[in-house]
Amino acid sequence: MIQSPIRRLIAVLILCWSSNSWSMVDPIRVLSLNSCYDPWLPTLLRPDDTVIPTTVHGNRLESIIRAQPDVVVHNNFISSVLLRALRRAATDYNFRLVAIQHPQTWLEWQAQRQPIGLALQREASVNRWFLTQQEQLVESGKKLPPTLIILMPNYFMWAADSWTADLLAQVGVELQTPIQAGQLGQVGLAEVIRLRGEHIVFEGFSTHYSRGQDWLHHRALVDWSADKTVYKIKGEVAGCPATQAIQYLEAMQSE
Amino acid sequence: MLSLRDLVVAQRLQAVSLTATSGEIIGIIGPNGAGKSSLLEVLVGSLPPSSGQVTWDNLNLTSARPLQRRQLISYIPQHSAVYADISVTELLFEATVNLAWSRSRQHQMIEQLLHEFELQAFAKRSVLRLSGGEQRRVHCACALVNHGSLIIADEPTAGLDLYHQLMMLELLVQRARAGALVLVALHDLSHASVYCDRLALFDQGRLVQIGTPNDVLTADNLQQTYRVEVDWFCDERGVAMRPHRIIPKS
Amino acid sequence: MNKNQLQSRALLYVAFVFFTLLFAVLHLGSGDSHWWIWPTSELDLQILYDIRWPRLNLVLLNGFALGLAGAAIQIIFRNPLAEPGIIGISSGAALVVVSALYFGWMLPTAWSLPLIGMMGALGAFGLLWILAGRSLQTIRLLLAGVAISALGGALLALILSLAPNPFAFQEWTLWLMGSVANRGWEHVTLMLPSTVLATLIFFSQRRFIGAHVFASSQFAVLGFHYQRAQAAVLLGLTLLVGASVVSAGMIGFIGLIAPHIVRLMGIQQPRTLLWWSAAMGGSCLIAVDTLVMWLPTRQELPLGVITALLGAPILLYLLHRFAAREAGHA
Repeated sequence: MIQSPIRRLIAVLILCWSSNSWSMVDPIRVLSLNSCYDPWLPTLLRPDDTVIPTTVHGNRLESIIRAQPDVVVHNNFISSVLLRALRRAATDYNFRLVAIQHPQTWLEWQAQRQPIGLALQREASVNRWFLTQQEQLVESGKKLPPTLIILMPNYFMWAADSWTADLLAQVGVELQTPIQAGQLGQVGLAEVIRLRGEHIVFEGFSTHYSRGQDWLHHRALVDWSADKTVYKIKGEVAGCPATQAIQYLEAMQSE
Repeated sequence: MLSLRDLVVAQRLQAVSLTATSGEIIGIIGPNGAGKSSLLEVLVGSLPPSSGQVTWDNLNLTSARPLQRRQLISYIPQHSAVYADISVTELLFEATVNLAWSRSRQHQMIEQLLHEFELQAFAKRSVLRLSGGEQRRVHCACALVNHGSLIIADEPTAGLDLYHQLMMLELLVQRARAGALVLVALHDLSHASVYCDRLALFDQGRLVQIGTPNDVLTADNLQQTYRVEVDWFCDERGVAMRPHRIIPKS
Repeated sequence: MNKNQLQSRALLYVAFVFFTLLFAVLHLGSGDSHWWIWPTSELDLQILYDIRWPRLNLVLLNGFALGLAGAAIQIIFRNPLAEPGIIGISSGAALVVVSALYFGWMLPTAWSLPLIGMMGALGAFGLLWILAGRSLQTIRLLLAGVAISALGGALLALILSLAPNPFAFQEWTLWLMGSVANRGWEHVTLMLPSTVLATLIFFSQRRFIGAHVFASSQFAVLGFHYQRAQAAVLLGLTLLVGASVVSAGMIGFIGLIAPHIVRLMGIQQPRTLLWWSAAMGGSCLIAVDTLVMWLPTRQELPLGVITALLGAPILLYLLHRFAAREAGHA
């Protein structure tokens, strides 16, 4: 225990001496406060950095501190109580809080490339990731149908101003929805079956939801969807719209 | 004929045996906790006996079918209540349940009961808005609607004024004279002595004595069971009892 | 009953039927931005038959079942404050149904689902029996009911919060606050057999239920197989509540209010009260669901929210009235 800082110091000194390009950066411990970031953060960081996923600490303050992170990454869906406690703990336990905004549009998301890179002090790798995602977006948009209707559990649908509508617009796809304003809304079946479209997406349905997926079994919906192409997006992908944007689009590609 | 043989209910009745014939009115007396109500509950079938036999003619009463009991027994429980805001007539109609009477028979019998219990004035009034004594009379009327040949009444006079106490007891005597067997638990010993053909004195779950009022209501019996000293005044006009003093537990 | 009374009673019946039909027509035409009842296109026709008719039927069945169950519980418990939701049997049914669906034992349209719901209701009943004792006094009954509801709700939340999905909370509220939005004929066929069976059971036991105007001490000589009859009524109750929860979630208070409205109409005799409460429950729930569709909220409110909003103050009023009456007697 006592020796470990010394050992680390020696290792850093050796690194500094041996390589100029790697010389200025220590490996960092990055703690994720959002399960979407668990698989994403390692792709932004360097191989010798450590990512502490949410499964390790379960968003418990005590476990977060015990994990001794250098950086804690969260987004705006964090509990405000936890955030306040983390701000207080940040100075005492010497870690940085990095907030990633949950984006409403693709541009907002891509605009976070620089701030995230700076905050994590990994500008090169973060840059690389975002640029790759931008390239993949164009590629994945090529195989998509021209219009899409997306249904979610509990009678939810994306509205015209939502992230999903914007993402689809980026690749020239029109989202058909009866909700003209806002992000998200619940709809009646009658509104849905009035929509004319050939491609439907069932997003985020899981066998664990009963009442929520009632409408999949409704005769009106079954009849309506019978002659249409149906795609399914898993909850894990749908739940992380920004970091998994490409996988989200790929799930809707016609073969 | 009612016959009880070695009737036992754990912790309540000990080896009670007695026989009674139709046309009789038998008073069940004894201090609180003597087992009067338990005996009556066994007879109506709501309390299963631990052992012993209860027969009515050739019918085993404890295993009788509910509809048989319905035809045979009229039961006035010690505590009664009504749980709906309905009129006296409506309640009496409810009381004819499972008797398989025609509508006209129901009307006729209810009219007769209203008359017998002097309830005509209340017939259309809500039972819940009657006084306690009036309600009690309504409950007694409900209980007696089936004209059972075995009438079991647990303190039917409780809560009634003197006039209606006597009216109630006279009604029971009438039913007995019409051929029913009446078993009535009473606390008022002078009423018991006047209206009952025989008295059964209970104490601590045992039948102490059964016989005519004169035989049972002796000073000795009262001292031992009720723990009171009394003076009796008897003449051709009737019986009166004057309590002397109570005997504290030694 | 004199002539005047008969006339006013007849007027009441006519008014009841009129308002029920009125709300049914309003209900059937609602849903789109403007009210219509005569389909002008193929799609309209489909919407009318596949979406609106089943919803109307489901609302009617739920109201009928809950009104009937509410009246029966009030009569046999001899307690005017009893209600399937308040005494916790709905949450027992919901808990078991959610568990069955969550762990993937069956599909949401499985015919056996009402039976599963019934098991839950029966379990809650058993628990109530143990906690409240056989006397079922008001206070003990309500306290035990609150405890069972809380337990059921908590376990429901536990199961759903184990779900790795952002829609879990939505799911929870959908069960706690019943709704009939977007239900189809599948749900009607899910509910119909249990409701019919329970109604037949209650019809065959109508004399037994009616006899509960008398105290339990009187039952020994009233000619009923007490245990058998009570088991039958309990079975009917759990069938009704189970089927309702399975098809629409927990719709509170309708089982409490419907019998009290009927009593206010001057119908007090238990046997009559029973059927009138069923009809009144159906009628009221259609009215409330019409209100739900007409309220200009951004998204449709769950039906249970409105019944609770209307029902809770009525429960408070009744509690106050009964407390005053008890104080008067003391």
